[in-house]
Amino acid sequence: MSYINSANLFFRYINSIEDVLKNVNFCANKGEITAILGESGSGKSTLLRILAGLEVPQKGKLTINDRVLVDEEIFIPVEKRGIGMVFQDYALFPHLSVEKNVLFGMNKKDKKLAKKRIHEVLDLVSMKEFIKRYPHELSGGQQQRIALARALAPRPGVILLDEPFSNLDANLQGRIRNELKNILKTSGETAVFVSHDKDDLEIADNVMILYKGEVVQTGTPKEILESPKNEYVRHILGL
Amino acid sequence: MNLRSLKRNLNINLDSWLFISIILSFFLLAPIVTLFTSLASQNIDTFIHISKTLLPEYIKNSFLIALFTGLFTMVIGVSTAWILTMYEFKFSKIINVGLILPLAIPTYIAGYVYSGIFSYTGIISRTARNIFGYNLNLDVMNIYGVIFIFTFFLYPYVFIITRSFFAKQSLSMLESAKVLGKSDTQTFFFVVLPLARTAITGGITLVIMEVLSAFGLPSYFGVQTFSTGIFRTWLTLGDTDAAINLAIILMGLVFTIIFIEKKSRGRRNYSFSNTKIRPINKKQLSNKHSVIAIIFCMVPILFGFIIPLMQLISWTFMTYKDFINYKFIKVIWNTFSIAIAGAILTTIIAVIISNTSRLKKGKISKILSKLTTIGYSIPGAVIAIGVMTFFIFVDRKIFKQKVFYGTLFLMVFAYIIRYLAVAYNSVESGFDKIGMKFNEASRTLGYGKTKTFFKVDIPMIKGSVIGAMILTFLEIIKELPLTLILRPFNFQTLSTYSKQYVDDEMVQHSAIPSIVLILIGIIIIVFFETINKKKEK
Repeated sequence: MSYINSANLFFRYINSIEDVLKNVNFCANKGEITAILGESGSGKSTLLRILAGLEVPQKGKLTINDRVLVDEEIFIPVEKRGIGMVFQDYALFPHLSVEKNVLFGMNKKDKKLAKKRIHEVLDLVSMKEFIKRYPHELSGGQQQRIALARALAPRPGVILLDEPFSNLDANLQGRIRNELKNILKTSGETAVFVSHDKDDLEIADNVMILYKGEVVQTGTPKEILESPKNEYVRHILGL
Repeated sequence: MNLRSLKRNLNINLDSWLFISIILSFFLLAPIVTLFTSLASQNIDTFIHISKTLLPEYIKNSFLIALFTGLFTMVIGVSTAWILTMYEFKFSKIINVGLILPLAIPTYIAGYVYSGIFSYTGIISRTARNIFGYNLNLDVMNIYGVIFIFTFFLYPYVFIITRSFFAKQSLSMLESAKVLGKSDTQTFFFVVLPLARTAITGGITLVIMEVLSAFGLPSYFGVQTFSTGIFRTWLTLGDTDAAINLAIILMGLVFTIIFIEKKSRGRRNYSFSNTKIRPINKKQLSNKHSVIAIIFCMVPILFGFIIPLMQLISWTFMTYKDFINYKFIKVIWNTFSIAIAGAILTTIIAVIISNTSRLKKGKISKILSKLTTIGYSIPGAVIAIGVMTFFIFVDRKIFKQKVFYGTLFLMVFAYIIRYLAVAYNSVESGFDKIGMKFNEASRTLGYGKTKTFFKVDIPMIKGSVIGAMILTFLEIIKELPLTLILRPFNFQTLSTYSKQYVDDEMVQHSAIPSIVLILIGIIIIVFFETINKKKEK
C-alpha cells in the first residue's frame, strides 16, 4: 500500500463547465520523490492543491499514511493535515524574519527544542547565517531554501512543491535541483512536486503525466523516457 | 446525500466567518428593508398627495442641480486633470494638491461662507457701498448659488478619478493619434475623452450622489430638494409616511443613476490591456502658457478653498473669545469620540465581510459584500429614517420600552451602514494586493482561518486598515443630515454645532467649529496625497 493514495478524484471550479480533474488515481511511496508532469491547464497544480487541502474535490477519496483525508463523508481541512508545502513564489511572510518564518508552523511550547529545530533545518538548507534576515533581503534561490526549511521544520511527513524551479534562472536550476534532492532525501520526507519541465524528472523516483485532467502515464523516469505511451508524452519529454 | 455527507459539506461551506458576516449583513440591511416593508402598511393616498404637491418641485430642483453640477464639475475636473497630467509648469505640484483641498470643506459650510460673503453686511456689498457708493445686492441663496457651491466643492471627485486615469494612459496611444494626423485638440476630444469616459462618468456619479444626498446647503439656501423634503415632511410636518415615501423615491433615483452608469459602460473596453503602457513625458510649458495654466487651475482653488478659508479665518478672529469654554471642548470631544467609535466599528465590520468574501468562493459571500456596501449610495437622511424606524420597531415589539431610540448607538449604527463601503474598498484593496498565497502558506503550516487572519493577514494589510479608519473618520465628522436626525437630545458635534449657529442667524460663529472640521480634513487629505505619491514612485 502506498503512502499517499487517491482514487477517482474529480474536480471542477465553481461556475465553470470544464472538468479540471477527471477521476484521477494517484499514489506515492514513503520517502520517495514523485513528479507530476503536464502542460499548463493539465490539472497538475489543482491536484497538488487537493492533496494539500486547499481545494475540495467534488468526488473521490484521498488517504495519506492510511488516514482518510477526503471521501464522501470526510474532509480534513488544510491546517489539520500536517502537510508541508513550498509555493511557486515561495510565499515567505514579508513581515517576519527568516527565523520567525521557519518557526511559524512549529510547536512553540518547548522553546529550546524549537530553536534547535530551526538551526537544524537552516543547516540542512545551508542558510544558517541568514537567520536574522528578512525575505526581501534574500535572492530567489535563498528564498526557495527558506521556504523549504519552513515547510520541513514541523516534520510534516509529506512535502508538496509547486513548480519549485520555475522562478529560478536557468544557471541556478541545475544546482538547486540537486541540492533539493539531497535535502529531501536526507530529511526522509515523502515529496510530490509539479512541473512542466522534463529536466526536473532527474530528481524524481516516480513520475505521473497528466493531460487535460486525466492520467496519461505513470512509472519511473527511466520507464517513461524509454517507452513514452503516446505523442503527448513524447512532446512533454521533448523527444 | 446522507447525513454525514451533508455535515461534511456544511463544515466546508459554513464557518464562523460566513456566519458572522451573515448576521452582520442582516442587521445592516434591516433598516433599509424596514423602509420598504413600511410601504405596505401605508395608505396610497399619502403617496398620491405627495406626488401632487411636493414631488414636482423636488424633482425639478434636484434634477436641475444634479444636471448642472454634473456638467460643470466635469468641465473643471477633466480640464484641470488633463493640464496637470500633460504639462509641467511652475507650482504644478502645489496646484495638484490644492485642487483636492475643496473636499475638506463640507458643502453646507461653504454655503454659510458664501451667503456671508454676498450678504448685505458681507465683504462684497460693504466694499461696493463704502468705496464705490454703490448699493450692490447679490443674492446667492437660490438654486444658482447651490449649483455654484456644489460645483466648486465637489469637482475634486471628477478631478481625482480622471487624473489617476490620465496618469495611467499610454503614450503610444497619443502618439498613434498624432501619426494619424490628429492635432492635440483632436486627440484630446476624439481619443482621450472617449477612453476616459468610464473614469469621468464614475466621478460625476459620485458628485450626483453627493448632490442628491446633501441636506445642509439646499436647506440653508431655501431650495427644496429630496433631502430637504424628507426633513420637512419628517420633522416639520410630522408626516412619517410621506418622509418614508420620499426616501424610497430618492433611493430609487440613486440606484437608477448607478444602474445607468454601469450599463453605459456596456461591453466596450476602456482599459489598456492590449497596449504596453509607456508613461507620458510631461511637456514643459513656456512662461506665457505657464501663467495661463496657473490662472486656469487657480480659479477652482480660489473659489473652492482660498476664499472660504479666508472668510472663515476672518470670522474666527471676530468670534474666537466665545469659544474658549468647556462647551466647545465638549463638542470637539463628542465629535472625535463618536467618529472614532464609528470609524473603528465600521472598519472592523468591513474587514470581517471583506475577509469572508475573499475566503469563500461561492456567490453568497459576494452578494453579502455587495449588499452591505450599498449604504454609501443611499443618502444619509434616508439611512437615518430607516435606522430610526427599525429601532422604534425593535423597542416597541421586543423590549416594550425605549432602549435604543435616542441613544448614540443609533448614530454609530447608521454611520456604519452609510460608510461601510468607504472602509470596505480600502480593506479590499489591501487584501487584493497580498492575494491568497500567504494565507494558504499559513494554512499549510497548521494555522486555521482565524489564526491566519490575525498572524498573517492583518499585519500585512494594516496600512489599508488604518487608511480605512482615517477615511471613515473624515466622512463621519463631516456628516450632517444623519447626525441631525439621530443625535440624542443636546448632543452636539462640530457639524451640528456650526449649523445651530447658522440657524440662529449667527453665521460668523459657525466659523470656529467649521475651521476645526476643515483642518482635520486638510491634514487627512494631504496625508493621503503624500502616501499615494510615495506608492506611485
